[in-house]
Amino acid sequence: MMDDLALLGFGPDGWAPLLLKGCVLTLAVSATSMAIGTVLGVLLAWARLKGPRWLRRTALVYGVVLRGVPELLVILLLYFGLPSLILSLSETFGWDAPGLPPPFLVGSLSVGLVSAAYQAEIFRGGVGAIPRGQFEAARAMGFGDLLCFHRIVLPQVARVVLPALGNVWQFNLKDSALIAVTGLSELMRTSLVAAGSTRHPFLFFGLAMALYLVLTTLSSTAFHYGGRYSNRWDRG
Amino acid sequence: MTPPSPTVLTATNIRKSFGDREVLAGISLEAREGEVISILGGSGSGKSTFLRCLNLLEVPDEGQIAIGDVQAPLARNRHGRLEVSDGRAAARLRTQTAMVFQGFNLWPHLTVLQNVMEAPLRVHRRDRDEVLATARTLLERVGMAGFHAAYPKRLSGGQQQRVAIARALATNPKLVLFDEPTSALDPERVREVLALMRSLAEEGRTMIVVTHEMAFARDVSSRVVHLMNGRVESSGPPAQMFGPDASPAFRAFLSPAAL
Repeated sequence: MMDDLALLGFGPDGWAPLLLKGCVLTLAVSATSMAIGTVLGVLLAWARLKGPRWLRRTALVYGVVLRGVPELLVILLLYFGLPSLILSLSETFGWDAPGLPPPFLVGSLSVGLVSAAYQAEIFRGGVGAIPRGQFEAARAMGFGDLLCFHRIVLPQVARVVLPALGNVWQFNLKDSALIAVTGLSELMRTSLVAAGSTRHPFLFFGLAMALYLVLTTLSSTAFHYGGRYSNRWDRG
Repeated sequence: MTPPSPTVLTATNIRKSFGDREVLAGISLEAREGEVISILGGSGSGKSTFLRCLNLLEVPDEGQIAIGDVQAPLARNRHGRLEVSDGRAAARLRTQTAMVFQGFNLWPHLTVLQNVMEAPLRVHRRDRDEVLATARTLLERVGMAGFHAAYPKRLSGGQQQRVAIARALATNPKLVLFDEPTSALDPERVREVLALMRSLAEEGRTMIVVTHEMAFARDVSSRVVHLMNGRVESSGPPAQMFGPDASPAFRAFLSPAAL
């Protein structure tokens, strides 16, 4: 029992520093992929709503594909598949062969690309929930598109979409565990290594579970209060 | 004789169809400074569509619009359809006008004061203290001085519409368009909004009002325009339009209301 505690501590045999680093990395990857997803999701939603026909189609197909395949596959494809394709191409054309891409970047990007597909649907629905008169009142007073988006659309969309975005964030956080396959030592990967090298899988996976729960609970609470704040004008 | 006041709006031969249905079949209208023009007509006569063409919320199929001496940026695209050729120029033109809607369309996430201050502050980029002072004066004027921090959801329809009118005046527009401003209100609220509009007319605001309020059209406006089937059926000063020489079609339009 004392051995177990030493394994979890900050001592020379303790895994605590690495696990904490894993938590930080997990949060960083999740936040990056969420941000990528939001930016791309807004663009996709805009494309679906206002884009020319070919762009609407493209955005639609993007959503169907990225929501329809396992995330692990997207990660494997981007991290291992794409470099191997580039490698064989570079052999054919005599380019310098690049090494494996940075796991953090590709991991965040993979999860972000999938996240964007879900977020696009949420934003599309959110904009659709704003009455037409809201845009018209702004346009009639000379608002440009950007100003209208920033001052009139965004705050109202935020209220509608924040709860749904909270769900996406939770998925993001959990899906970031899949990035473990790239060797990035986020929380999942660190737990795997710890469980293997100490031969205490129950201890470390149990701990990882608790840590994930702490992360998800804390962040949903944040989203809950964010949602309440963005809703302050619609209460009572 | 005093020289005629300058022209604020010139709309020439405005046409608009939705699918096969021709809603506006060539309407022209000129508004001079200080005029209050009431546009009357049965439902489906095209009066709201015409009003919405004036600030390009609807793009007409044919015709020209000018605010003051600035032409609206309308040009034919390669399919021969009229469209807004320069979005920024259209937005600039709209900054000279304002609109009051049937459904108020206040921005729900902004307080009463913020609603009134938004356009002069963000669109016209006026000095904040000056904008605040104007907003206070206007809210006082529309009887909403005690409601600065309230969100629109808390207000009655009449209160919301009075705030919307203050919002429309906040930029000191050359022309205010009213699209059935009292149609969504209880009779009691109608009176408070009409009284406010009357006082605006008396201070010389240039207004174009699409309305069903015959008494307002008769007593307040300087000119009445009767639309029928997408055309100007008749128009003139209220004394003529509501007098013995009124066109039979306009009299027929009025008669159910007179009953």
